[in-house]
Amino acid sequence: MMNAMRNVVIIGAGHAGFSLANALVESSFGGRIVLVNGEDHLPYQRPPLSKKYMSDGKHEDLFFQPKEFFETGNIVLVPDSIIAIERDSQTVIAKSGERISYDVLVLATGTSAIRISIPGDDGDVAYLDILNAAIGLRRRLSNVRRVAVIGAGFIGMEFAAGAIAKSISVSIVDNASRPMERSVSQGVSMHFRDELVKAGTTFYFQDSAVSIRRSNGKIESVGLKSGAEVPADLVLSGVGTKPNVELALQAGLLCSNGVVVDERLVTSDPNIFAIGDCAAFPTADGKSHRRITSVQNASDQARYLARRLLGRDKNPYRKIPWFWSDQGPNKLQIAGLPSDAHSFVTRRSDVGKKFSTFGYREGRLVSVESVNRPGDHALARKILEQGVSPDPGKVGLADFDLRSFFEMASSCRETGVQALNA
Amino acid sequence: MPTVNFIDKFGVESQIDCEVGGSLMTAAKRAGIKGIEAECGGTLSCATCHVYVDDARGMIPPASSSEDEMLEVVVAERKPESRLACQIAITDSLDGMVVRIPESQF
Repeated sequence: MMNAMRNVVIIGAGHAGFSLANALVESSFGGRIVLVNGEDHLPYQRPPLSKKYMSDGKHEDLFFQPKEFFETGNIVLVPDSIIAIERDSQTVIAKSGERISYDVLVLATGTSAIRISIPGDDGDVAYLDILNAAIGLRRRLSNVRRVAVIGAGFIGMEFAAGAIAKSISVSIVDNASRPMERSVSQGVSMHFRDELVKAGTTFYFQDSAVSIRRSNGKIESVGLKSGAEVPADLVLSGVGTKPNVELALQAGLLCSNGVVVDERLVTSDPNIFAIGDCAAFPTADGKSHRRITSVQNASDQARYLARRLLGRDKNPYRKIPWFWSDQGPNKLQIAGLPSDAHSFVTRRSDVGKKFSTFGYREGRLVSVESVNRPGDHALARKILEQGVSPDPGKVGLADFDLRSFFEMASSCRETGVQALNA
Repeated sequence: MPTVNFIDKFGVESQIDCEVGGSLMTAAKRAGIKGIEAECGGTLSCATCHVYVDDARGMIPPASSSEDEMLEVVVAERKPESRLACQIAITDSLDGMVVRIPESQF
């Protein structure tokens, strides 16, 4: 198959789709690359939409590359959406009716914000998933004093931190009992909650929005299940995302919380791959599938697939996930998946503004969440990649030195010494 | 507008006029310089905009402790002249600066 690969069609031009096209060009792939964009912009980065873009509004900084890059790289940008995949004829069909044939099709369709349904929503509840939505939201913010955010996940928390910086008062509502509950440990949740509370945010946990009340057509407040009434001029929903699997489903590809792929990122059709936020790939133990929505996952899967398509990588895809979130002056960096951990140990320095939380499962390190400690994060990525594990009884002690541990652990590995619980 | 000389991993030189105010990373990306990834968009999270600034001669302030710590995870060799391009603000004093792009960012 690889030799006959002249035509690569990539659906989706976020981090996954763009990175694949970029990696193919950089590897001197000689065939044709079609990158289906679906939006009326050059391919752009989505993570800054809830962070830096909300504060500076510089959408030109979001583009991965200027227009000339695609022209010189022989990448055909299709600013249309795909409505169907015909697997028998290896063709995708664009909304315009255009038929585009492929030797290899890559689904990099990403996710969409889950839409909520609340009585009183006149279609003006804001979402933050694509650039046009962010442009519209930013415009509306200039006339807003109070915002109600539904969902205390990453999008809601990042947006809230940015709104506070614009002197907008923020209330956040979530069913869960703490922010970013599915993704971070309790201590990290509490730190970010406390930071926003200190800045004036009101949280309503274990509660949900049940109505939007208006006066003269304008949003006035959000009514909660608990009976509380949250004053607001604007409502932003960030309750989560869902994988964009409609095309895959319609084409009869196996889907289950994402497009199901094997450890080499192949879907149930050998000519079709899926990468990035939309792809559900096997866990290391092979027992289940998981979807990771992050830049790292999208970019690493894209580069892996480029190598594989060019016959340069026969191994299964395997990478340590990492992730970041900027919330006002606070930077969170995560290596590994805290949701895999059963117990946590925290190392603190200064007055609690900087710390790292080490997550363990069956005595082995599986995640490190670093708050304002980029050095710990950098080392954590290396430590997890090497598969070494500092002793959970020692890692929290003031005299424990992560760097010395890492250096000793790696030299023991190199010399073949049986390691090692420093 | 200061002019910065970028030298890519093949030794190809490009002279880029950089707009004052942005970062060296955004200036390079806008100019289509290859080999600077900046996956995190310039927020000091990914260390994929690694560059070598050969002789800064006081043209740029030294790396902050956070930048210094993130330089720990660069993939190409870390050298004394290693910097993250997203942390270098474009000022007129950068005129004539030479920036080399490493072999790889990941």
